[in-house]
Amino acid sequence: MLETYWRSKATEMERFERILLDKAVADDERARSILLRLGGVPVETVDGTSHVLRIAQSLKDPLGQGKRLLFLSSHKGRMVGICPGTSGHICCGYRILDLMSNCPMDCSYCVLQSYLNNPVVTVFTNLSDLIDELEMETNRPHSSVFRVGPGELSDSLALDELTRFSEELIAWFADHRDTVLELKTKHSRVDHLLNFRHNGRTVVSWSLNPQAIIEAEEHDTPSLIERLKGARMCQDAGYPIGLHFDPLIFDDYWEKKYQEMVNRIFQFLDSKGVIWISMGSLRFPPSLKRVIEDRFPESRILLGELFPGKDGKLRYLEPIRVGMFQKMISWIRDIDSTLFVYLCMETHPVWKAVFGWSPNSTEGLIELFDRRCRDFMRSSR
Amino acid sequence: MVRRTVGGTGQKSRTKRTQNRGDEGPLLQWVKLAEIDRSDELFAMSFEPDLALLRESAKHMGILEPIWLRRKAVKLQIIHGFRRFDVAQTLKMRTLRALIWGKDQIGDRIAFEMALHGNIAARGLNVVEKAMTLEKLLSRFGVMRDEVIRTWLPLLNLDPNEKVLNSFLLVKTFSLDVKRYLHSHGVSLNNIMLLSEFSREERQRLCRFLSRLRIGENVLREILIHLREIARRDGIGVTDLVSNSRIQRLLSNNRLSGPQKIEAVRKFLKEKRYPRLSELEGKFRLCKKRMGLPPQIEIAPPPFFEGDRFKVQFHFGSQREYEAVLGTLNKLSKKSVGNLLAIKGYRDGTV
Repeated sequence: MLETYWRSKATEMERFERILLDKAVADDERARSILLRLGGVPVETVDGTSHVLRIAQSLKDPLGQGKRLLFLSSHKGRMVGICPGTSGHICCGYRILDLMSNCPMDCSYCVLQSYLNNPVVTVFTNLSDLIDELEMETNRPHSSVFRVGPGELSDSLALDELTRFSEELIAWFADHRDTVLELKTKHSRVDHLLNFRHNGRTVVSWSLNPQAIIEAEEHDTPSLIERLKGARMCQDAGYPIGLHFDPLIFDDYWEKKYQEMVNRIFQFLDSKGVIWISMGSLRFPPSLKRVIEDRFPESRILLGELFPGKDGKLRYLEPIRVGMFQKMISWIRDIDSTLFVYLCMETHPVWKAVFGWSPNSTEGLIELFDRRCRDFMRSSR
Repeated sequence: MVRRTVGGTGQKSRTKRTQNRGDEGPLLQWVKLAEIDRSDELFAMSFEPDLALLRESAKHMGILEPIWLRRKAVKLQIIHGFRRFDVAQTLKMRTLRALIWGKDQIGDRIAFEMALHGNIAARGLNVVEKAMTLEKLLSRFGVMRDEVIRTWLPLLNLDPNEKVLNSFLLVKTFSLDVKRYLHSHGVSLNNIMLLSEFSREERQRLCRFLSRLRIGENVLREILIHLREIARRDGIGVTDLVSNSRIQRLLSNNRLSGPQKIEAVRKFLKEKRYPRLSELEGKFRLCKKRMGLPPQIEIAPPPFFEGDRFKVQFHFGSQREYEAVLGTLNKLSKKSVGNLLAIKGYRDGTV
């Protein structure tokens, strides 16, 4: 039954025009399964990442065309990392699973465009190595909730129909106390997740923006309503839901658009099933500006008042950010004053200005998360 | 290449062909200017050249280097040496020394490439000439785009990519006024690329506006970016922006020096582009003014008002001065410091 479902969905992955198969994984079972699901797509055997980089460099539009190439390889080195955060800003301490890099969707503001050397969508097939590493990490004594996900260098679910990573990951986390897997996505097809045994330890979270912004800036992504329908399905299946209002994009009409979006979200979702909401304003390294101008000349996101912060990244002028965060929180609190809302990559003064208090440091925010995870899971039982 | 030349100093052609060599080189000989068809500009790549130096030199020494010509049905066609020909003509010379290829001895494309190499080696090309050259390579001599990007852009000292080529091809379509502006101000490739994003009318208007300010490349870039972004954000034309009455008043204000006008225009555009930052800066200046600090104490907000750390800097040359500075700082009222710290207008803890 599930196999039939996967086969029907696999045709939707036809966006890939070529598969670059690292000879190191030519005999890997997961790689073979992915190739099978992409039957008909030409396969070229390559000799490691440097070979793929040479191919990418020969493309006219590496960033655009790279999204239509799929590189199957094996990750060398550690696969469980920690979000590097950003200097002078408070980070939530999200840990990273390096299973994929790059994303088939094409958001104008996506930092991966200037962050990654390799523009080709890459899947590391050695999930079993990652699971071994997870075992090792979680066997060490730890007081914090082990909160982790593959949503840093890619969308967690955009390629799931091909990779089927979620099935094994969700099962593993379901059996491990004090762990939380967060699958961050803009994707909407989640049917396959609904029957997995997750034990409430997998949070499926959505990155959301008003429909007008999705249309203008988040190319090749599902609409707001499609995302919310996916979220609702997951909520009905008992998954805790996370919401990420990130990046918030400012313009003269932002209030109307975002207030409508907040109201719309809670027409679909029960706020009691939302474990956390993050907010982050548009931010990017200066090097991305040129990329956005070249690839998305119609984009309006660069027309804001953006200035370099302590970490060198461009952000809206601080009072603009504070104003946006304050308004967003007031709309959220009007719906449910108990919702857990945090700021992503913001400074202590901004936290203070927005909330009247601050976690002071990354460690402080991690503590808040631990408490929230434990309270939420206790109350959900 | 040259087959063999006899003489070369007299007015008459005294060239003798060598019969025993089978090469296809040109002949070096004296030719009358009247035999040359100046109107044939197939191989021309000069844009409004400044001939003064060459003319001075030619007055004293004559035209030393032979020009390159190709025989046509009736007259001779210039391959390389349009400037020398023009100088010779203005100096009323009657003959010039020339290397002459036969009609079928050399193809158009080879002739153009030779002329191009000759020019690159001798003087380099300005931006308008580079644009003319690239356009000719593509449309007149049928060179493929990839080859132009790969081979000819680097030879012209340009980055080998599509965007650069496209920007230069656009220069070819610019009006004469704009070309003159680019040429006379030595505008950089980056700024040409910015200019190419505007419409023909906007570009023309912009160049008239910019010609009134003598600005360097960095300021030009800043102004162009601000103009482009303000126009896009506000949905207005760049022409309207530069015709703004405040800008016009600034430009025609005779009491302002050139650099003052430039600064005033930059300030105007910055305020338009970053209204909230400018508002904060204005508030800060007012607070600072109200504090009445002496010149040896400098107070600065955090860069771009990001964060809550203000910086005080002072200088002193004696114990007395030092104590005076500390005394001044100590005397700052709670209110004036409070006003400074509240400049961003946050109401902490409202959420």
